[in-house]
Amino acid sequence: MQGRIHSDDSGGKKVDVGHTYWRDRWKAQRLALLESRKNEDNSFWNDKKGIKKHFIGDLNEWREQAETRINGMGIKDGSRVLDIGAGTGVLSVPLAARGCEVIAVEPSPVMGEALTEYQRGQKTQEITLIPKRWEDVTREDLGEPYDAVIASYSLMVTDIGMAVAKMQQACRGTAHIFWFLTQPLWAQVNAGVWRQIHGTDFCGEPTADCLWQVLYEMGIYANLAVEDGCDPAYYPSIEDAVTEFHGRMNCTTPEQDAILRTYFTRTLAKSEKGYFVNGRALGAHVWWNATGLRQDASYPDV
Amino acid sequence: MLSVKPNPSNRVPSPGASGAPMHDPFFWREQWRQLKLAHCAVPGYGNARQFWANRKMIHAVYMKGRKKHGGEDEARAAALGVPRGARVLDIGTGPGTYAVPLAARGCQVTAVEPSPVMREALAENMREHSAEDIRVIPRRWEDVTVQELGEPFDVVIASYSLTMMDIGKALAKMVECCRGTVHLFWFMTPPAWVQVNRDLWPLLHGGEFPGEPTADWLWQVLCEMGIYANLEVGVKFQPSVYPSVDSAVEEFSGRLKCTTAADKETIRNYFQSVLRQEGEGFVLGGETLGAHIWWAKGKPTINSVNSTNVRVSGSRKRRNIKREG
Repeated sequence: MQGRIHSDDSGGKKVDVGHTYWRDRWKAQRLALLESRKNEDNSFWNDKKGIKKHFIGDLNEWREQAETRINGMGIKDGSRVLDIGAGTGVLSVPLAARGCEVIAVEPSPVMGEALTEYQRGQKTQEITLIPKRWEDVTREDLGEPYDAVIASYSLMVTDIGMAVAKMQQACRGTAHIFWFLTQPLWAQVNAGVWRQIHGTDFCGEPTADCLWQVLYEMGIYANLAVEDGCDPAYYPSIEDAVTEFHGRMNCTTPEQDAILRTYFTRTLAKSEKGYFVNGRALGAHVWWNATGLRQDASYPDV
Repeated sequence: MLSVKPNPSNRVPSPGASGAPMHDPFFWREQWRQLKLAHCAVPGYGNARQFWANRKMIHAVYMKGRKKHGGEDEARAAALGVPRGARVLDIGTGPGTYAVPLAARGCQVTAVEPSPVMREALAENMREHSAEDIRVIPRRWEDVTVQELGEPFDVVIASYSLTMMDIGKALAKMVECCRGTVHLFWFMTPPAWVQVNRDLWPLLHGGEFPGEPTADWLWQVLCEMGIYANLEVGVKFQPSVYPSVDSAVEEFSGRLKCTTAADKETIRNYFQSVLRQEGEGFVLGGETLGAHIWWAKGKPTINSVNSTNVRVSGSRKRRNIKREG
């Protein structure tokens, strides 16, 4: 329905704004987010121990979720699969274990290393690693088309239309994107206390409803399945929560930490597992058949 | 044992966060209403009530297709996985596409259907399948009260019946009378006849033909209401095939309220250029996609839908729809 709603009445005649309304919204929100976090401490992604704790911490929990996701995607054993933003191999490794030929795109060396380690530990067949951002991957890097193209919580890109078009182009089967349908729990914390600490509004990621609309705009009519979010993180003490969010919240002064402490004291819930953010977050599995696109599909050339 | 503190930030993580410009939580409901309003303003087009009371029109554009696809109803109803004995509400039943097979499977079905012509077809279908135990409410959904529906339903279905102007209010009422799953079916892409009307209406009558809102808007409205629904895409209609150019001209002369020979000539010229000859027939447009949108009450919804914000048509006033007992 795009192009029928946002019209410019100034000339008396309705002007079709065109086919990038949602794509532009996504971009605007991403840019606002980048602007609000430009001073952010990036050390989190380079902290090998932290990443391992965060992303490999409870492998069994991840494994179960990965199996559910892989079954949900209906990927057949032995398929040729592209995993964009593969991270530590949460999906890539179990797919390789099912005999799939997996090509993983992962720009972070720490993540890539963890992926290889995980893969060797599981003794699956080799996974080819492309150590680049999805934006920078070329056709030559990708080679033959894939039976399944996956991007699981990894499309932190400004031009989502381009990222999707590239997935579409690399795919001869089904394409799958997993993304936040609502703001994740940690972002709900940020949203709750950011203004008090920084005096500005917190910008979250654009959500899966926007993504789905971008696809619609491009003539890709995708299915969407709602997923329950992950279990919340548990903290042994309020202070542990403050320590974790110190960086996420760009805190630099003891006063800012104190605001965070007060906020957590007021809002965290407690169970026998520890303190946790009491809320709900949902994810979405958005997928489509990349073959047989309709004639009205209008995605950018990549 | 959980000891949960009340958490102010736990209320709503801004549903439909990316959808509503300037954070207007009624944006998509209002867009929907505006498009329906634009339809009211199309001179001489008539309204849904007139259309669905017109026996000849219904038989020309609707029943024709049904005869061809008979026997699919049972499979479609089975796909919803409704257990025997479930209480089912079917809004805009039509000839009983879902209501009849579900009743035949032992569900307790209530059917809402305002069109007398459709109710006749429904009665016939009920007799044919020995599914006569269906409660029929002969009114529009807008005019039905939750009280008269009685006990909440396990399954609420609205299949290609979302013609309401105030879609938020219509959906809130469905949520209110449901204790299980709501299933909506609606156009994902506009059907081919909409494109024909959009093309020809300005030539014949002047002005614009707005068309119907599609499932993307519906999904945004649900997000605005804090309802996060699943969506599955399927083929709703194969492209229409006409035995001759004349038969297409005939059907659309009626749809487009055309009265003069000159109008008919316009339509004929149009179809002569857009219809594709394939084998013995003449094909119009491509396939029309449909969306099946569903959610289970209390499951993927974030904020409690018991207090869904509903804007009374045309005003900014919100009120809380409270669930009974």
